[in-house]
Amino acid sequence: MYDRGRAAQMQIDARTLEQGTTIEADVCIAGAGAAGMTIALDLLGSGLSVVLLESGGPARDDQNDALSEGRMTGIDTWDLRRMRIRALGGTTGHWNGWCRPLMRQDFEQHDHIPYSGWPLKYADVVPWFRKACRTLEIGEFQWDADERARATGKRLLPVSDIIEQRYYQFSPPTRFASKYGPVLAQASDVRVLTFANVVDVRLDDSRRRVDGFLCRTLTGTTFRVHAGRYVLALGGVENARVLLASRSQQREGVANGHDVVGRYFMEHPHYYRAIGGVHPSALDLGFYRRGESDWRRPDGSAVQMLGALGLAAEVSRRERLLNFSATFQAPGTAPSTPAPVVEDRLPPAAAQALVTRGRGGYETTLLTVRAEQSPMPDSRITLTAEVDALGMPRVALDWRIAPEDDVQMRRAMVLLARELGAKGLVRLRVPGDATRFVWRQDPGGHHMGATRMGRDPKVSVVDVNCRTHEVQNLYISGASVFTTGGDSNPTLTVVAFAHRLANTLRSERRQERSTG
Amino acid sequence: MTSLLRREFLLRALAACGTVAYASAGPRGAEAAGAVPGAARSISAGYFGDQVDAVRVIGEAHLRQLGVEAGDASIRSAARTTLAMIERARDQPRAIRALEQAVRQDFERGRTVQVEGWILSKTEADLCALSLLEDDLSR
Repeated sequence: MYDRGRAAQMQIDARTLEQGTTIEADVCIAGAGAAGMTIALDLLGSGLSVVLLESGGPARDDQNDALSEGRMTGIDTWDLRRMRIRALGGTTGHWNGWCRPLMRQDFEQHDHIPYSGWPLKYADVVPWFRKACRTLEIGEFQWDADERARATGKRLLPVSDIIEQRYYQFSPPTRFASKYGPVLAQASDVRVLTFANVVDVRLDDSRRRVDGFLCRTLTGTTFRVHAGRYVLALGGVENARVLLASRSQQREGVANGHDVVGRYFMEHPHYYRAIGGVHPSALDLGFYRRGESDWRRPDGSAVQMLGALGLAAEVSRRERLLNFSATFQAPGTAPSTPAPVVEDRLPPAAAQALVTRGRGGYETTLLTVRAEQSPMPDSRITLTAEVDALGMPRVALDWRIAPEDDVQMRRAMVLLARELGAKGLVRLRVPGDATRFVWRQDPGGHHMGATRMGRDPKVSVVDVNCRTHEVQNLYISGASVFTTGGDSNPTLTVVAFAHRLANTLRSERRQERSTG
Repeated sequence: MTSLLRREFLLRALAACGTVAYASAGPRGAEAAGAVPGAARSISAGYFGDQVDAVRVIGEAHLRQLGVEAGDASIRSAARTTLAMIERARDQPRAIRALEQAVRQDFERGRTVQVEGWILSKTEADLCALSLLEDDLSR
């Protein structure tokens, strides 16, 4: 738990500030979740004074959580109030620790994925991924399944090279509040303000620079932070919400001259109980069950891992398919979602005849598939007329998935089924047909893309350095900057980009000093 | 059953299927086919280890999906390629090996069918349908 006693030094409850206070700093970071805390930690000792604003306090509470409420107008995703945590550490307070980086192909431009192609390469991010591995307390930045199988003495399924073997690593999971909160609270150059909400991003007369964050508490205290640089690290929905709601000077909000903020919202469609399978009991799925890896943390605990199957990048490219990773559900685990979307008229007992052919037992399995979706401008966050207790407009989240995505994903599943069938390993059941898909898409709680990165301001909000195209001293951190989402859980990539942004801020500081 | 009767049965069955195997069933083809003991239904049972009930469920679903009635002639017609493969084999072990290879190749080459959602090799779906034959030898 977060040690309030130890953390008292530089942590200020914003409700105790005098009305109208102005706080000065070199850098103001809004949001003390994985992204915001990572940036603040990296700026320690940089000579930059930092103010870190957090909407909540040390622990989650209903009043603050209610600020996140919004309306779902598209695919019904989990409610935002439950998904987001407004407290120190943000959503790391309840994440499950799944870590995999975005993959090399996820950064590339693909003709079959509209609006794809990041303005940087995978290799550019690798140093920051390595650092993020340490921050999230996982093993090395090493993702070669052959090597991991050798190191752990586990066996990979003998599939051909159309399948790419992958694995997840699991963070303990790192709870940022308890792990890093005390470090920040003791730091002399970071001030953490709790219960502080940004309600307006105020621009200077040129409209090209932020002049200050106007902040408010639920008790009615209003104050202002004035800094040289500003970072929004409020989460995938709130980053867009604050920009859209900051319309006191511009009707369209801030950094939204091309009406891009809030658009291209992406999730990771999760397909939990749709893909069934049967396989011989003797099939060794040890690599694909969550278990210990060969890596150990400094405290001696083992980093856990879980094997997965995807398609090789070349196959995805050739077949014009989105990325996905499939894991086998552990035997005996309760389904986490409601009943199957497809009535199972052909019982596994029938299908088992095909794989065992009377020789030995069989087991049924379910695959959980985590999939990529194409970015689309109509999948978006907008503001409603309803306001929260701070007077901020609530969001309407219209999450959409292109119909072509469903067809692509089904084709991908059939390719996987064919490969597993050819090797006599598993027979898969894939719902739907070539034109109609009946999978139910569940969200992953991964809110991506609504302030996406790119070179062209007409289809992106931030540049390669996470700086907004339109406002020179405003940066955004978090999954909202993802150009495309791949299929990997976003936290490792979010933290990697936070490290990278902190480095940018330090570099800019050095540059300013050297040029006087 | 004498080998002559067996050969006659096979030729008639293949004729009913209209397969290329019939056209090639000269003396050598007929001799090879005639070496198959029993026929499709028993090969199917052998292939699936006598899990007849389970296999029949798949066979019925496959035929239903194809819109084919579960009569012997229509099953033979629907599964004629697989049937021809069985008939070409000289004995049951060879037939089963050929079927195993065909199933693998089906998956590799995308010759799959979808039966109640399950992605199956065309050959194995046919084999399941052949298990529904009323009588292997009476035609």
